[in-house]
Amino acid sequence: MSARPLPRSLPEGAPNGIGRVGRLLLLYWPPILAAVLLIAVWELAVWWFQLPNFVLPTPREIILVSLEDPRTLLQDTATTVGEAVSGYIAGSLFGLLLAILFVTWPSVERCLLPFYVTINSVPMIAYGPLAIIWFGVGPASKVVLIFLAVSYTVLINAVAGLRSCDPVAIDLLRSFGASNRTILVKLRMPASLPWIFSGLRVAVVHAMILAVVLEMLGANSGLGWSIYKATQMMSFVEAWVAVGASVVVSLIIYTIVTRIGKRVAWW
Amino acid sequence: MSRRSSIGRFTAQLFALLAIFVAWEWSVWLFEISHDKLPPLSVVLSTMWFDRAPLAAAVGTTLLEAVLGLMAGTATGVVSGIAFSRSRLLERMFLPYFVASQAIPIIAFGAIIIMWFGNGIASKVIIALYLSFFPVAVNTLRGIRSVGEGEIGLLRSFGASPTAILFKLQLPAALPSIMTAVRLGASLALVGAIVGEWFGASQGLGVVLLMAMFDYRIPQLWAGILLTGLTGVSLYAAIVFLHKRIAWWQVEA
Repeated sequence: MSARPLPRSLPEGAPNGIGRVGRLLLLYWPPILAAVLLIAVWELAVWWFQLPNFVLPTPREIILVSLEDPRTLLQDTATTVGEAVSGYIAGSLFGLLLAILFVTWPSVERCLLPFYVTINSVPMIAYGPLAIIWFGVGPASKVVLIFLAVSYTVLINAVAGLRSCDPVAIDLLRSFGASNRTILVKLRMPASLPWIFSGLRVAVVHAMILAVVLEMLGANSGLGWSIYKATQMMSFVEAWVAVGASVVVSLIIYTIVTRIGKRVAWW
Repeated sequence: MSRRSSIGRFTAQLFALLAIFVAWEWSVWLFEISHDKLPPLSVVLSTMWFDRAPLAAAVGTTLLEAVLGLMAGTATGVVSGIAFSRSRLLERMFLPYFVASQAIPIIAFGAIIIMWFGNGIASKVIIALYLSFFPVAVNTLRGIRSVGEGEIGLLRSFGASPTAILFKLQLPAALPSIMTAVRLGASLALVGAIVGEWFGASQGLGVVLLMAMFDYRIPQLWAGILLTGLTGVSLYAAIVFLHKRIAWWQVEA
């Protein structure tokens, strides 16, 4: 279920020398058309039915309001991104480390993995209220749960990846006298990279979801907290602004991880 | 082989669960952990038994929201997947957004759904619906596309109508991939229902968790966590069972 961009190519016989913008338009006109249509219908519906902006603000209003107070919005975004990214990085590293341990010593896996699976069979958000009581309303409670969720996702993918390589290739390396460590570094790790990156991509979304949702439970600042406050005051515009910001930020982080993945595991 | 290893995994899982429970119970006594931080399992279980009626009602409400949302999400997802498979233009216009929806926290839109549809069950059903809708739509299309041109050509040469091809060939072929998405959708739907309840509801697992947090009742909080896990695992198991029944030809753990 990884969200991979569909392969796209220019239609046959595309004219040359149309420039970058023209090329992009030619490639992406259907989704752009859909967006334009959607926004037009949205604006028209609000105008036609005279929907008050507390029911459905127009996209223009949402953008205008978000520009009104950029400081607060940036601060909230920074809080949420800070929680998501720190939990994400720590969790990914820990997941990778654990995966290497598991593959090197399968007995460790047999002892530890069932516990990890048990803890993760409860939806992570259900631990949210407990995390807030244990670690406070600050960022710590969010980072801990993001760490847990991300490390699990990365672990499962990395173990599958490290196990994915061809046994014949392992035998070949071994026949050349390669040690277990050499096999791990030269064969298993490179072979597992695509798997690890698909785990890392899914984990971005987990991290952002947890950051936003846990902030809704209680926080001092952050996009989720701002969404929660907006719902309590029935302030639709502010809710849309914060939701929009979380969407944009998440897409940016996701794109960065995907780009890095393509660089590193280019095959 | 795969059956044996899956039974082995199940045993290991059960063993781990028991070990966690025993370690939990004993470590609280042994290290004299304050019950405000972590009550022993026995206290949590007796709380669960004492509160069994309201807790059962909470599980029922949340499960109802999640299952209704999942069913509606699956139905709309399959229909839009079919629509995409029929129209290249529709697919190229909207599929990129469907795929992108899996890279963003769309659960945050739940806040707006709650403001529109109020505190009742309907708003949670809608959240669970749209969370499960996107993966099902994408996977339906993927499954339909997995059918080879040759097979379609063969049926067509026998004079099969497009509808017949859809129901006799393409949808059955897409079932395994649809069911995979439904499995993912089930956990999303449960999370959606619980988060929706946090914004405002009178009953449900989300309410149990939230109220326990506000009133600092740690045993109730743990009861909520355990029941959420149990609900999630049961829902998942039910879907896997259905998956094996419906798409029995697909051998998968």
